[in-house]
Amino acid sequence: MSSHGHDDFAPIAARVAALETLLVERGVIDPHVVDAVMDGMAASFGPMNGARVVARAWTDPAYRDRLLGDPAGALADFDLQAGEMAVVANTPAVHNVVVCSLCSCYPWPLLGIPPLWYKSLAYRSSMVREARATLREMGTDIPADVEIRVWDSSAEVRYLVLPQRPKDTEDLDEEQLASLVTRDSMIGVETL
Amino acid sequence: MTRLNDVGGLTGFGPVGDRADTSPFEEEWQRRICGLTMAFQMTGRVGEAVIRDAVDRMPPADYLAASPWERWVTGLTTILVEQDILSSAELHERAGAIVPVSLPAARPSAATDAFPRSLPDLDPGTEIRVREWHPSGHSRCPRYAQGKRGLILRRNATHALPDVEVATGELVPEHTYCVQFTARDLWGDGSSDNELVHLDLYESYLVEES
Repeated sequence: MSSHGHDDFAPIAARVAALETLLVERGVIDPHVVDAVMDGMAASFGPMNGARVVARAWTDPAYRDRLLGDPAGALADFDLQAGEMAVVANTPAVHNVVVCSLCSCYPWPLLGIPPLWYKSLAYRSSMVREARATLREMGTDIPADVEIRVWDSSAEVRYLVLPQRPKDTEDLDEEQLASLVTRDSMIGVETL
Repeated sequence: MTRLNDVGGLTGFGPVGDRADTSPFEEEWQRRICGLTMAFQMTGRVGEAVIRDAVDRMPPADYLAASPWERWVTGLTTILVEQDILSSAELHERAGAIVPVSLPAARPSAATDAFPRSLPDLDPGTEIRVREWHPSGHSRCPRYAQGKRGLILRRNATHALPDVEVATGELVPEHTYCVQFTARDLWGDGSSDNELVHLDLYESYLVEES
């Protein structure tokens, strides 16, 4: 048993500062690398990437087929790389939702860094156990006759939900459609 | 022997947080540990499985009390101390108080010693059973699926089997299979209707159903 409790720990910001300054002093990492990594991710990762892919799939049936059958190849059309991917499509009869019960695996290049609720023990524990009830608690009602498919990202495959195209959007072009696609709809915790 | 990170199906954690809160960071130290962990990973000294293992080994009470980003802090600290890159003493001195690390790894379960195990290629539609062994070491086979029957949906690419990578450092590539379970398969009489759950499981985790 440890003789120390949580209250004896150094403040968390001091712990992180200690790690960073010591690693830089030892030459393990470069002084500006943390900002460079984070700025690079802020510039290139985010839900706008997933949204462009979804909007293309809504407007181009051949692209949709490729996206579902060969996600990596279809993502390359947008110069996107997200490792081993699976794209799962919502239909009137099927609703998909993504979780990582063991940690917080998530398609960062397509959706950005996961929101805090995605990593919460509440989400991780309950989505695999009672998806419909959890979705309802999060404000999304999925009718009882719609099959819910939960994808627990337990290995290297990352999942993106292809939401259903909203009604009355026939006149919108691809860019306008992309602006309607939310991060949460691509995780599967909301419908559009 | 399951570690506390394996929370699928546990109850009592309250409602899921506010979905409207879209920022991944609340404070600057969170942004820094994210970048720091990635930068360290980019030096090639450590793979993702080792990082996940270091987090999973946190003392259970600390794991529960920590926020997700705080778990990353303890995970990275643990790796740096275990790899003799930094010492607990100098971190303590620099941070002004204790800088906690995770518990040492438990001896892997005997079953894990027998990994990797190879099966013939499994076609989509094949019925399988998930092996039941409740590993004490790092694994990506959630407790809630162990011993359960499922259906092969797809064969995925190969990746290093994390159980072996963490236990011995050896990289043994193995296919994962996407396996589909009905909620009833997993949760029995307490299950919700019309729900399916899918996991990507390494070949070593699966047993052919005769």
